[in-house]
Amino acid sequence: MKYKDYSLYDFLKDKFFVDWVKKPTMESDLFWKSWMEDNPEKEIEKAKELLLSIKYREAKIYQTELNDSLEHILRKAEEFDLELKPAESSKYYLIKWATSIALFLMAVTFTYFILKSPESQDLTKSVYVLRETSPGMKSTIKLSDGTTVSLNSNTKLKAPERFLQNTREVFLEGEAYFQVKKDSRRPFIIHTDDMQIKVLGTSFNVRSFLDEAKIQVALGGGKVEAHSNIVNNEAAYSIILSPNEMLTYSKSINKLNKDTFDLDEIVGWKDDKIVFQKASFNKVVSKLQNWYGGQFIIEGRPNNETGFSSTFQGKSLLEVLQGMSSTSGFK
Amino acid sequence: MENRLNVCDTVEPEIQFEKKDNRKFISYFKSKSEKEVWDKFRGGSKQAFIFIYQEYFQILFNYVFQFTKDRAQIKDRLQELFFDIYKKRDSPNSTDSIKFYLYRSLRRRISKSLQSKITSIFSNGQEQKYEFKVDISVENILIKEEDDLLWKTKLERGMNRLPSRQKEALYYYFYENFSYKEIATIMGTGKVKSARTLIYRGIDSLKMIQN
Repeated sequence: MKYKDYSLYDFLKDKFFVDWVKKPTMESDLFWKSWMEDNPEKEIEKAKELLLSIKYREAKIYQTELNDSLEHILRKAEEFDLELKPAESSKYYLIKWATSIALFLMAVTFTYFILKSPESQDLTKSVYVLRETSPGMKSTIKLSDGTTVSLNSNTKLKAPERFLQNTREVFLEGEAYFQVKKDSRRPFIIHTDDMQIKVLGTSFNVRSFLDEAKIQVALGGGKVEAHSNIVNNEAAYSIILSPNEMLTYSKSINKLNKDTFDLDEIVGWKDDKIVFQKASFNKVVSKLQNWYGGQFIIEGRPNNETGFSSTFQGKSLLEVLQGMSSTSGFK
Repeated sequence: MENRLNVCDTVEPEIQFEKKDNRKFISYFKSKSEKEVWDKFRGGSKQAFIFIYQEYFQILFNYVFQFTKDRAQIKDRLQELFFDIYKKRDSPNSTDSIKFYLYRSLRRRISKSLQSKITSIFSNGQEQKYEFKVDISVENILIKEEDDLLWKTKLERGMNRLPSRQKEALYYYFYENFSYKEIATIMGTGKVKSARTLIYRGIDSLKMIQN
């Protein structure tokens, strides 16, 4: 057998081995894992560890430097395209730039819809299906891989009709509870407006409404990895959540926070449970509006500093309001 | 209430990014292969260009940082690189590996400034600056014994004492996962065999230091 009696240095010289340690593929992983099982020797362990601990010095770029540099390049690119002399003001060019992106997008969209006829669909690409819930409505769907997704009110989920071989990706706007079917070879990725969430198989809740300042990812079990879409920023690093941990991402300050959470308060909605825990009046109103659909007409405001705490399951709006009025003393 | 279900489109969520905010399309391009991104860029997509910039600027910065510590110089070189790529986007080269393409053109620029004394990024032209300094971290769980610590420290010292060319080759080999062919092209040796020789020689010296 080829790798018998290999020394640490022989392993280091083996490209197949080095590539596996640095960037495993399915094939190499299969091979080396079983090889290591059959040959529990120290040399290969050492080689692997050495490769993983080699670090070269790094120079961190700040987000502002990165943006300034990009702006500089784009300005030069724009000048090059227009064959113009340097601009009087960079603002002018930024506007031009934004316009050109917008125009470009419109053009892409336009040609796309014109060119796309149903017959020309490529089998290697997925056909995406959009599921939508309106305010006051909930829905549960099953995806092609066996994953179940419960959609809360006012939520959009875009998922392929059939997942491709190497990836499972969906797009979410709103709130949904995922029970992801385990498949270690195909990670399940949820794209939200500002964040990507990657898991192999677990159940968790994602809340990401465009008009809300925060994105929440709460975990019932298993591990989940979340990446901010903003590149090269503290928050861009992935965060790993353990069971009963919740991740909150604040959009305006671009910050990730890890915390524990109350299971019922966060994911109760999927069992038709409304839970308030020291909730502010505004929070109660917005939650109920979303839940039952419709607008409340608010006359006056209760004076309640401790916030509202109550739990309801499968109740009508009237029952909820009656319940709250008796415990919290508002009408 | 009914569950609306409509087939909206195939894989092109590009329509979702109608905001001028750059980061919206990052996750879209992330799911594409390098070739697809590159072809989009060559087809005139500025989004793809911004994506490539966002993906690689920091990595390339670290790479050039192995040659010089002058941050302003590194930034200038990288801005030139990206602008040149932009200018030449119509040229016919397709590529499967953007990373390799970028490293290759960057390395060529570095060689040039090595030769010309005036604009040299090694302002005094000395080899000592040309470092590729390695740190072998000893925080790993596997280390329980003094022996292990010693072993790693020795290797670290050994790697840092290798000739520059070998150090550079090992950087691409151990750290950046380039193939022999890519390493040969980046380093301008042209031949796969000579790249392999450089790497093997480096590893052999480590072995000698250790024993």
